[in-house]
Amino acid sequence: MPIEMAIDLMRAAVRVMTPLLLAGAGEILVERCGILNLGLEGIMLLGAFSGFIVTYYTGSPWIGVLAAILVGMAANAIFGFMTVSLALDQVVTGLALTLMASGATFYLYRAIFGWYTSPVPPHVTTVIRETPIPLLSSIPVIGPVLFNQTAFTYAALLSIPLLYFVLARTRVGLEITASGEDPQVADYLGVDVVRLRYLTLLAEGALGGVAGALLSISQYNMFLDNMTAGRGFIVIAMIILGRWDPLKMTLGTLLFAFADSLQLRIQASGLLTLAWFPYQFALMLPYLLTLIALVIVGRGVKGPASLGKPYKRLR
Amino acid sequence: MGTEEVVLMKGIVKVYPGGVVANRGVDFDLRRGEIHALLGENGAGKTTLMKILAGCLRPDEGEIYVKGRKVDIRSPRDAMNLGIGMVHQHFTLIPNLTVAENIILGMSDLPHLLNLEEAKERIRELSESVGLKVDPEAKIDQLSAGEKQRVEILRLLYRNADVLIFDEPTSILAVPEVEALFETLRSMVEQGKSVVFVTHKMWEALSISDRITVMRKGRVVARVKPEEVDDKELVALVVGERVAPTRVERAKPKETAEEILRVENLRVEGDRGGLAVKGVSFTVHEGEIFGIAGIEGNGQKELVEAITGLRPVKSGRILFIGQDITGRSVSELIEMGMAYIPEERIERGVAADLPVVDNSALKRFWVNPFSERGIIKGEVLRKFCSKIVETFKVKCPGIDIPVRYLSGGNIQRLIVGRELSMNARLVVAENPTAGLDVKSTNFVREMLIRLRDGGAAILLVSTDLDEILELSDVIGVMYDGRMVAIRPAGQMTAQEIGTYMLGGEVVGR
Repeated sequence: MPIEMAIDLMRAAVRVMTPLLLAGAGEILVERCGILNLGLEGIMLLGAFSGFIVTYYTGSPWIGVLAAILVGMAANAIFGFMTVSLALDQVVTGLALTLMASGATFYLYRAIFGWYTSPVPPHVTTVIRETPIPLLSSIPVIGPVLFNQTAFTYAALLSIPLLYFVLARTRVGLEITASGEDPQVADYLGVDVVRLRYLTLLAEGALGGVAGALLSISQYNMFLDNMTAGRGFIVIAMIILGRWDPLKMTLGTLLFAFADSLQLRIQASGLLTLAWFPYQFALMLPYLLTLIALVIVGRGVKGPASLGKPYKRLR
Repeated sequence: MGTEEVVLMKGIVKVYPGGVVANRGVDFDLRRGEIHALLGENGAGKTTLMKILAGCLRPDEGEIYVKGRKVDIRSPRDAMNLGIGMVHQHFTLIPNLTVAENIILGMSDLPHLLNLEEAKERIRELSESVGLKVDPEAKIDQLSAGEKQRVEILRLLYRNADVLIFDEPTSILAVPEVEALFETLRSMVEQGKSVVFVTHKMWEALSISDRITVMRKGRVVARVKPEEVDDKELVALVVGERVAPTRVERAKPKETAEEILRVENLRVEGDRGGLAVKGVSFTVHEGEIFGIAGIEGNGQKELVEAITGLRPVKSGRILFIGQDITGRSVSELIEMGMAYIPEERIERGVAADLPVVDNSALKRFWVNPFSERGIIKGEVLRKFCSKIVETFKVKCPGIDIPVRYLSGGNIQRLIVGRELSMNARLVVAENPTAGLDVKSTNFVREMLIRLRDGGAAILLVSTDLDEILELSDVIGVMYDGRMVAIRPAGQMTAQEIGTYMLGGEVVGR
């Protein structure tokens, strides 16, 4: 395989990985705080939709991303009200949020654009350009793959060491971990569990919103129904199988993104004209590979002890 | 020793959401540099009172003064800022974090960027200066119970608490650890700190405290100095003046009663490792109620679980109708005729989401006459259930509604009905009337007596002394995993039982 193709493949993998990494960083944060948010898929879909609509009408992808952040935060604030303040079941609430997002975007898209008959759906042109980093981007191979990407990719790549640092070295990180392990004890010791859970949810809402917006306005340039296609769920699966370790989650997303980029290229190259290899298997490949890899690396570690359990103060 | 009041609590009233009144107007004061024991039985309201002081619970009425100033303690953090800290009965440590992280967690003046090295250094210095050895880098789940408690104490000292509350601190400790803890407490009051020592063990209160406040049923019944009272007076204060209970009418015990249950030198491990039952032996005969008295947490729960097959036996034997049943499965025991009325009736007694009718035959639905060739016969089951509902006066809107919607008393009637209609040879009843109203309580007791008269053996475990006195033919008292006394009812007074329950005899040994 010529070197250009390999570099192109790796660049694509990093690009595909970006939204997964952002969403994953957010979900790790809330899960370490004791909340299982299955609404992540919905948050991403809402982010994709609102980012697209606002970019479409304003022409500015930056305003679009901002809108996606706000919508993501608002949706997670509602999720927080239900699961933290009212202590409702997190799994049910999260799934409801995802289903609501799916239905709402489906409806609103048609309410705004009507039932179009044209074969070309409304689209935006990508204005988020790559920001090559001087010097570093001219390193062979690594340069174009890692240092000639959009600012969001840099942010996503930086978010993982930052997440590590926050969880391991800061006061708020310690308090988040404690709230996820035993909110009752954390509360007894003076940690404001409710506030922390809201804070982590707001952070996740912002990150998930951006992740979704990147799909619609940076990768596809249009909005499609359910375009997140289970990416929110695969991120959650990666986190659980990677045992809440940001590094393992990163490796999982990288593997997923690589396999996804590869299968697209294999399909496009026509190598798969072989009749005995259905293209559906190629589509399945990224999910399968990621799950197998994470099952192997992520054994024997315990997750946050109070994950998914609502906490209500006894007074 | 000064007499300055560090803490003054006045007219504290606390009613829990379920309507249970834990404190009925309690006054409590703590002086600087004293160890003040708060003594009383289970449910006397000691822990509630101290949780209020530590900010974990809010009182419904009453005032709190700390160092002469009226305060409103809204959270544990408020209490901590006033210098009040509590070592809870159950550890408030996070197993997955290190000692150092647990100690600094939640402090209000913690910098945003943690300096764990400095914290570890300070913890090492502190632990050396007070003689509480602990490795700040160890993870909590690698520590023993005694070490965990030291971490809890260090945490309070690290935060400069000068009022330290200990809730039943010795219940998880081995004897040498208790001595070490007492040493620590004494050295802390010498440094001018004040200690509240919550306990139900009389000898502890007598040996460590400067003053004793005795609580009973949500009220303070006495404030005494240990040198002014002896064991007997203290027991009388703790258990109260008990009128000799009216014993329910019953048949005379048979002369030649068959031995139904025999427990030989039984040892059982507790949840936290270590022995919870430390070599217990006794026998129960047909037509006899064997009552086990004792304060909660002295091994009764583990003993019952071992007998009913729910918990593995470490060593010793259990014989049921002459057969060694040690290690047999629960279903075999049911088959052999062992009935069990558990204390946790919702969790263990019923399947709460299933209807009354299914629950009525939960232990036998797979045998004749309820099933034939693996198919349940609905009509037989319904008739059987209706009979139980009628005979045992279970109030329910219909036998098809989930048990969850029944009141506690009616759930217990259903369980009792089910267990008693299986012609059991042995009934193990664990606090069978806890939380029930008077009518249901009397009903359950009557049923147990009737069953005994019918020839069943009954093992009654109860923390309610009156219940033991009222029902038992033979009384055993458990303390610290041992059966410290076994005597026929009538040969042991309430005072004597109370002394055994509180570990009174143990001091003399």
